[in-house]
Amino acid sequence: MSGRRIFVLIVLLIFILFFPFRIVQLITLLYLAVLGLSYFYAYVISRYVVVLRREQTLRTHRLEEVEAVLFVENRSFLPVHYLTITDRPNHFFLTGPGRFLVSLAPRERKKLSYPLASQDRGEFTLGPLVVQGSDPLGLFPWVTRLTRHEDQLRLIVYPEVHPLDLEHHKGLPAGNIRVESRIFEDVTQYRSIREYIPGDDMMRISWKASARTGKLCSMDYLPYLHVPVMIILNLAREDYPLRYRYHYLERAATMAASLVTYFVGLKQEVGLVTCASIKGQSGFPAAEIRGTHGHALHLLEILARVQASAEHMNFNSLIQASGIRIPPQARIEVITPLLTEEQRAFLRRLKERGCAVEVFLVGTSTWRAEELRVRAMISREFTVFSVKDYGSELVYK
Amino acid sequence: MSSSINNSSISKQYFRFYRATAHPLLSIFIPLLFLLTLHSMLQSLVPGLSIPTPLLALLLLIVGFEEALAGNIFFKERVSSFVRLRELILILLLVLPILFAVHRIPLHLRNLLQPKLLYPLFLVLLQWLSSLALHNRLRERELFLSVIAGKRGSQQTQALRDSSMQAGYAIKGIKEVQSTITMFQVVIFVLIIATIVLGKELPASSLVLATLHASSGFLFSGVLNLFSEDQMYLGNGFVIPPRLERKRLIYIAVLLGVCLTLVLLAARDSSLLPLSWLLALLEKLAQLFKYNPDYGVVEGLRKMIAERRQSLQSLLPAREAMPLSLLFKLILALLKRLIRVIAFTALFFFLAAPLFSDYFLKRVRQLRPLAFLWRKIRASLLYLRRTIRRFVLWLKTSGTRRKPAAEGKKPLQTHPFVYRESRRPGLRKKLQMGRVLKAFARMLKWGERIGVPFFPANTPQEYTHRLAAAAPGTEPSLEFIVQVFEEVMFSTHLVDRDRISRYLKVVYGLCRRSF
Repeated sequence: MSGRRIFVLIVLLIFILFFPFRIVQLITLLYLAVLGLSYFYAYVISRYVVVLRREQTLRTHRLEEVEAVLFVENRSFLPVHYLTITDRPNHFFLTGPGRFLVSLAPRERKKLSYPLASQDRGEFTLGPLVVQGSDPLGLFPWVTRLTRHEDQLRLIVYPEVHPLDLEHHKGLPAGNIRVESRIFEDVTQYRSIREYIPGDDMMRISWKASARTGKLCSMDYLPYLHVPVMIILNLAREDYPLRYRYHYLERAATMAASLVTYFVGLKQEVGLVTCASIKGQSGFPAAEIRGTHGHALHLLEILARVQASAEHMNFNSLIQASGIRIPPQARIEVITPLLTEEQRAFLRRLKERGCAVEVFLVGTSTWRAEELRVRAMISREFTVFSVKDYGSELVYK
Repeated sequence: MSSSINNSSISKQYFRFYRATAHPLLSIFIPLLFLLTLHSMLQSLVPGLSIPTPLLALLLLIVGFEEALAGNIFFKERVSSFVRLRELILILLLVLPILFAVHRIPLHLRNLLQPKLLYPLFLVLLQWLSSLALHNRLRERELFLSVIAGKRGSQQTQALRDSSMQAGYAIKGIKEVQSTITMFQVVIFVLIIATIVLGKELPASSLVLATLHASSGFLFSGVLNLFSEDQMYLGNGFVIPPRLERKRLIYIAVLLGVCLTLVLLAARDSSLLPLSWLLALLEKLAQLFKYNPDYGVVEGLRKMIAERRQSLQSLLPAREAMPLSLLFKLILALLKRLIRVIAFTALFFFLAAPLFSDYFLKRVRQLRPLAFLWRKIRASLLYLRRTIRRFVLWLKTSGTRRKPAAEGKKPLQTHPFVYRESRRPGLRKKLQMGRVLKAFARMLKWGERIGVPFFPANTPQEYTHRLAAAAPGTEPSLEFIVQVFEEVMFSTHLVDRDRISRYLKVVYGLCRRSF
């Protein structure tokens, strides 16, 4: 309460206590009662109207809508004519305003929701929630800022994910990817029985069928491939051209997220090594090759939070620093701008170990003759894709 | 309930409510209640100020309404302050005869300076000026609302941005009105204390008025706070719907009602603590801040005042001794009359100037008052002639008129709106005919639009046949229309209400169709 109001209050009290005149008491008591009741109303409402969030953490992809839900509850015995609730959206691009005008009956609870969509990937905090109201006479307006940790909403925005269609030629047999090559026949996946062809393995002959038909019969199996995938994401700031740097970095993150989603969708094991940084964490973020959905979410969270690294590191050191073992016949997906000679040498070694190396080059549209020549050299050694600058179709050969 | 800026706006209708009702009422009743309470207090302090309170209330109310109404009209026309000044003078000139009549004082200029007249006149002047000032302050808000009324979404945001300065003026205006209310409250409170200190008796009406004034002060203040909060919310992107505003007003009324009830129960003519305690406390406080004045300085001041007074008094006899020449007296009298004549002439021209303006004369010429007067006189003369003729006819046929029915023989029961002897339709029948005719005329216009003009030689039946040929599929409707039209226009009975409403529905439905 302001000093002026306290002074008025003291004067009124003096009049009420010491002046034995009905008219004076009537007027002063009226002032006092109105001020007192208004103050009481404002105090009770500001204390007993609570706003809660349904979730503490929300997860979404970039440019995808997610619904933020609030519950406002009047725990007092007084009705609320109206009050406003504003959820500070911080960096968000909102599709609906997080502002509400609410009228509440005693003990009433209401659900409020609004859509959110972010233009940037990353980890953000929503809030603080600001609740604003006043007593009916407007003598005691109040504002409450809910700044406690539980009043704030953590929002993790994954990179965009676009559909991919990649070819599968190499890998380990007995997996989940259906391929055409008979080399990867999975003996647990029975297909049919056919006539024996000279050259068929003796192990494949079905003796029971041969006895029944009087001819030699061979078992046919479905070819399935298992590909442990290691994604190497290069987000070293200096490797990207200055022009459109931010855009290309985001595109690289999008490519990585799409690969994660794609391979997890094929029930493959995926790992991640990045030449990037996460705010508040030291070292380069990395994750071992695993194949669960929880692991996929972990990878996406890493990709949501990674930022361009000021430090450059070659792939060999990166893998060694992460301590992750790359299995033989693994598929190495490298997302990077132009490869250096050192990086190519590392990838060549991996290829010699039987790994399938695929390079996704980012920012190729701005390349000049020299860079295109290097690209031609790389494509002679590895499978090379160019990442498109815009659109949902991510790659082209 | 929850709402936000994207799907709501301040409607034009609601804005008109503020302009035509809410703001004028505030600007009328804030000074009105203050002046009435002030009057009741002053009556206790100065018993000579006597004017019946109901009459004063009525006068103040009328003046307030006049100001609000004229203010709104003049604001639309953007008139100068001279027009408002003229309006004020006219009001005072109109109020004067009423006051003369109330006090039964002869209507003469020399009686004008009596306090009996000047006091209510002054109150009327105060009411008008206060209403004007408050209304002008609230008009800033009207201007602000006029910019955003009826706009939604981005348009509203844009309008809010454009009118940020006006928004500032609006808030300033509201604050000024609130300050006026506070000032009025303080004045009344001080007057109450003064009345008690002077030992004057306060009548019960003063008690009621003072309580009403205090509670209305809170009410008005609450409403103004609502306005300023609404504007603040508007700046934050919220538009408060009217029903929530009404809800808040109900809460205000409930709060004030509760407070008034409590206060009426609690207030009494005895204090909780004796006044001597307060005096003792004040004395102790005074002792804490004891001050020893320098008596030498005080004495010096006294001497100086006495000397000044002596020097001034010495001048007085000298002035009295100075003789005035006859010529000077004549010139003085002439000058006085000249000034009076000039002043009255100027006042007359100031008041009568609008009657000589080109606009007014043009408007009068358009209205053709002489023609209007002649029309009225002619109508009156014709009516007089008709009445005389009837009277003469009545006199002539007085012996040959039919005698009333014999006793015990009841006249036949007829419909109340059907007259056997005269075929003149009753009022309800006339109204019904008017409605049906109006609808039929509308149908004629529609027919003209679709290329079937009405010829005076056509009967309704013939015309609808032509219409049906031009507008296929409307034959049943047209047949029904003609049926009802003929029944209503050429019968003496009232047609069933449902049938009429069906007729109107069919006509209006037909008129909406296009071919």
